[in-house]
Amino acid sequence: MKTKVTTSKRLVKVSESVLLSLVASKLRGRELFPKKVESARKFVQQANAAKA
Amino acid sequence: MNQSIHKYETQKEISHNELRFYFISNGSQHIIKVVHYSYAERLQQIQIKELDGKKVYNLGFGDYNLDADDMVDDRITLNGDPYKVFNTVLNTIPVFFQHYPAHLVIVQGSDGTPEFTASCRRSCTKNCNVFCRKFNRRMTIYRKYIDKYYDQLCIDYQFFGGVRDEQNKISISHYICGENYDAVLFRKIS
Repeated sequence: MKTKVTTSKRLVKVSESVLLSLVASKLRGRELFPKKVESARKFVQQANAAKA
Repeated sequence: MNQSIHKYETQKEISHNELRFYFISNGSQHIIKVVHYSYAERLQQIQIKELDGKKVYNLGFGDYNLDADDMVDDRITLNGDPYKVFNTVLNTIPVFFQHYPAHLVIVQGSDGTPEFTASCRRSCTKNCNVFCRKFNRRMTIYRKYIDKYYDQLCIDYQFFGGVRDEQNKISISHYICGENYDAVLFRKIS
């Protein structure tokens, strides 16, 4: 399928809420802070292991 | 937590096992900020029996760079609005507990890992000797906030501190003001 290529440098103004909706939709399903979550997971697992 | 009017409007998105907030920090630049509560792990058989089986959610926070499509959580932005941003993040906490009243939140600083020290030394101009002066600064900020408002916060929340010892063993205990912790955990008092 052919897609239209746009080379214009004109900017489109959008409101903050629209911009945040676009960002939310772009980031949906993506793990945003994988290292932090993994670090938290290990921290809790090690706390569990320390007592077990 | 802090109900100050000096905060940004957020956009909330909830799905299974995660809660996200988006807002724009309007300081010297316009920066898209994201607060992300993400399920990490379940506590089991730790020293504090009442926490047994509780789910722990990680509180992640960072800047989203739209052009690079990249999340950054280990830089200080210097956008001129740190208190407003901090208040905005704090104001997401009651909302989290509205959706997940029985669970805990864990907070760790993104500058509290050995990798951070190694990375900092490559570009820092402070010429630190043995100890990196920027190490774990964020956790210090969080702890100071809790210590300052502890009596007030304890009406609604219960706090715990996590410490990693030299053998890499981690213990979680009831929070004591003035103590150093590698992580802070808290939950809503029902």
